[in-house]
Amino acid sequence: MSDGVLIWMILFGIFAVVFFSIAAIVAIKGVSDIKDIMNDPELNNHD
Amino acid sequence: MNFSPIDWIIMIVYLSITVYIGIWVKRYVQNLSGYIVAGRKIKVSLGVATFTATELGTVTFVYFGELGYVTGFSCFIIGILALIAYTTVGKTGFIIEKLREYGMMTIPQFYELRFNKNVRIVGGLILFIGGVLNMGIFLKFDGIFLSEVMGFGPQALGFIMTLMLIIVMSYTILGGMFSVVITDFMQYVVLSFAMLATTIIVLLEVDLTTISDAVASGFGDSGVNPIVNPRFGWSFIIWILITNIAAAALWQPGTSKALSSESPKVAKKIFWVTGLTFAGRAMIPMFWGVAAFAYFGPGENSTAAMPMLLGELLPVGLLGLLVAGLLAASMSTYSSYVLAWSSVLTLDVISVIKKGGYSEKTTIRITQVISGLIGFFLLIFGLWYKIPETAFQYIFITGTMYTAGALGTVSAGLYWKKANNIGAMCALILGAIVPAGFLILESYSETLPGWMSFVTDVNVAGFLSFILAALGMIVGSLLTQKSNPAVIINEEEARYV
Repeated sequence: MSDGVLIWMILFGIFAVVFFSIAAIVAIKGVSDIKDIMNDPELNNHD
Repeated sequence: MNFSPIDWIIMIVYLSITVYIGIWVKRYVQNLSGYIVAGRKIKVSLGVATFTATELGTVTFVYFGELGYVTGFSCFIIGILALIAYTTVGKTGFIIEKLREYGMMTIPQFYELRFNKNVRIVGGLILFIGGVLNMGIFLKFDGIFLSEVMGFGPQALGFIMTLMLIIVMSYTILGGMFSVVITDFMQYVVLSFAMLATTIIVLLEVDLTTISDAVASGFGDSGVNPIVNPRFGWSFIIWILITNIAAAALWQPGTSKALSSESPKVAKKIFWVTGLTFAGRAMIPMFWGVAAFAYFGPGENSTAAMPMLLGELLPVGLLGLLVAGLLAASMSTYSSYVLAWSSVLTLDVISVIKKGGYSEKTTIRITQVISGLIGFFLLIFGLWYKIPETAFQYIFITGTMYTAGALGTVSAGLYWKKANNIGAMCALILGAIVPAGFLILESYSETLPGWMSFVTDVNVAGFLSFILAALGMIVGSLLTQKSNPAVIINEEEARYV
């Protein structure tokens, strides 16, 4: 494996991990953000 | 056909849930700001999910996968440039912080605040045309991807894409930004999981040594070095970096996430965190494209190679999940884009031309009608337009038509006291001329005189449009300071939060 390929593979590995880690955190925290919107009194006078 | 009954069930159940939720949340739309910017209630995690989902459509996978297939690893530089641009905007708050502080719903709204109505109308029109042309090829590329992955062949294309468009339009038109962000969140979660599983399977089936050898023998040095790759080089790198910064701050579908956020501080954080994902967003599908090159070798259709690889490698169930995820990705992109462009045409052109404007209810109605018309246009345009070079370059040159002028206009409007309406008008028009010239003249490149050949070089055309726009703003403003004195924004009056 050439140096060029090795460098890109390392960068690919790092950024793929960053991408999936943020996705996991956002997936968990995003649920509470949605709950906050659903319970916002300003937006709940439709009933 | 690669699709099994299990894959069908996964896809249909997922789509049904998405549409149901998308339509259900329309109850939260109370007024115009609810429809266009979700009542400015978006927090960080939801903002990151909706921003990433918007910028991650099937077309993104297609053009990044295609680049991986035709350039090897050198295209990975594009991911690094996007990372630098978006995190810089997030960290500094360049443009987005001020626009959110002023409570803007669209970017051309700022043109009227800082310049005048005419600048807003011209800016709104250029943004609308560039934006709709930009998404004009989405449907075609999505169709190619899905038909190859599912194994239907090209004959099913039209039917699949029409059905998908109708589904997206139904909830976007009804629920506006609330529907967009809630469905985006679901789509982001499903797609991220599908991308992880797909990457693992590609790595297991096409080992790294095979990929490395294929890139070395197929591309040589240009497979790892973007400077020597004939498709890239320095002019490309500089152009893409500037375009990414401009798009990060000023591309309405993305910027609308900042404008929908709870506060300017939250807007910055959304951009910073999303920026961190942008290198992965590009490199993951690019890597699948490089793997397709190693697996099939050269000579395949460059657009179809990566989808074909996934169709061959992915097992039953995961294929359904990936297609559901990709449909999700496309739907989230379409919904955000359609809402963004219809909002711009309604708020920044039609409502401004009409004396006294329209009521909020009528404005929402007009936005809904324009959304429907954009959907119809996408079907027609996607079928006949022949895309120049690679999809990636088409996407960026149509985007540049607007971002070049907008970068000069908005950044000078915010940070340069002498910027006036003449300078703004010059920047907007000059920024759009070269990309428009490229799109029109590219098909006649062989018959053009030699001195005009620069117009048909996509990298030069893109780069030049930013220079012309900046010159237009500076020269236009300086020459007309006396006849058109600059308007200074009263910060206290303009501040929304």
